[in-house]
Amino acid sequence: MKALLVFGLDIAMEMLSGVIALLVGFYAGRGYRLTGEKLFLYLNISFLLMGVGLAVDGIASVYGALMMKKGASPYAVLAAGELFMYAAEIAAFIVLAALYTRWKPEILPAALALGWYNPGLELLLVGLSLYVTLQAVSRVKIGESRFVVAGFSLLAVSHLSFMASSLFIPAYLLGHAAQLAGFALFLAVVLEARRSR
Amino acid sequence: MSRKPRSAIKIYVDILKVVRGADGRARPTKILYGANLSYERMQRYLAELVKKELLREEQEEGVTYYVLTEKGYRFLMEYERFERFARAFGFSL
Repeated sequence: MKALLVFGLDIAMEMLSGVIALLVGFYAGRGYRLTGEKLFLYLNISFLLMGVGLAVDGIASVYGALMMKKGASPYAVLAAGELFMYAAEIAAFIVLAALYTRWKPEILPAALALGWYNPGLELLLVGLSLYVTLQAVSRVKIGESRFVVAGFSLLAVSHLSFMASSLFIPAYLLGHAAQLAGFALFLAVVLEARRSR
Repeated sequence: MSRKPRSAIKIYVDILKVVRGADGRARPTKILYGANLSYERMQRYLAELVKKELLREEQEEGVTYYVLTEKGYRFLMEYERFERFARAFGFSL
């Protein structure tokens, strides 16, 4: 029962994080259509990738739970969902890193082609999210982008927590909470920008 | 240090901001200096903005004025929201 509750909470937080990431991504897409600025296209692609990755993993988890209920093994579905999420998140952070360093994101297909599960992917995500966080910190002006820095920091913390969860199980939920809080901060950025002055 | 040339959209926004700063109604000379444009380029951009219904041309005692339309105000507000969104990520438009 307790395991089911944790599983349910995990799925709910993941889906909610995905929806928020999609909202931020769509908003950035609107910015690209209005201004034609590439920076919004990069944000649009990266947040949509994160949102789709989280949503697909969430859906796979729900489907896996239903399979378990019927007595079937859910591992293939769960692993496929997780693999998709990792590939999408790695690609998203590569696009963000490209945005902050002005690389051209030609390496994106290579990131998407990562077609196998490896615990090292989490470590790669920690590295990429820390890199993006540091780049965001270097651009902070007082009173600006504090939500963005906090958001990226929380995403980095969430990936660290997911890594630590193999040693300490509650870290898994902490990871999801940090991820959700991180995306909530990005939503706060959108709401703050939309506030009329 | 060389500066990135302004995009067409940035020039539109600069012109609209000059007109808004003049209580929503400005003469071409004010726009010329405020948006830092040559006369020919200004004429071209003003014609585009009138065509897009973001500005309206008015004549008063033989003098031409450009007036910010409701659509122009809304466009500027939306653009400024995206300027704030970009700044939050550490970028300026």
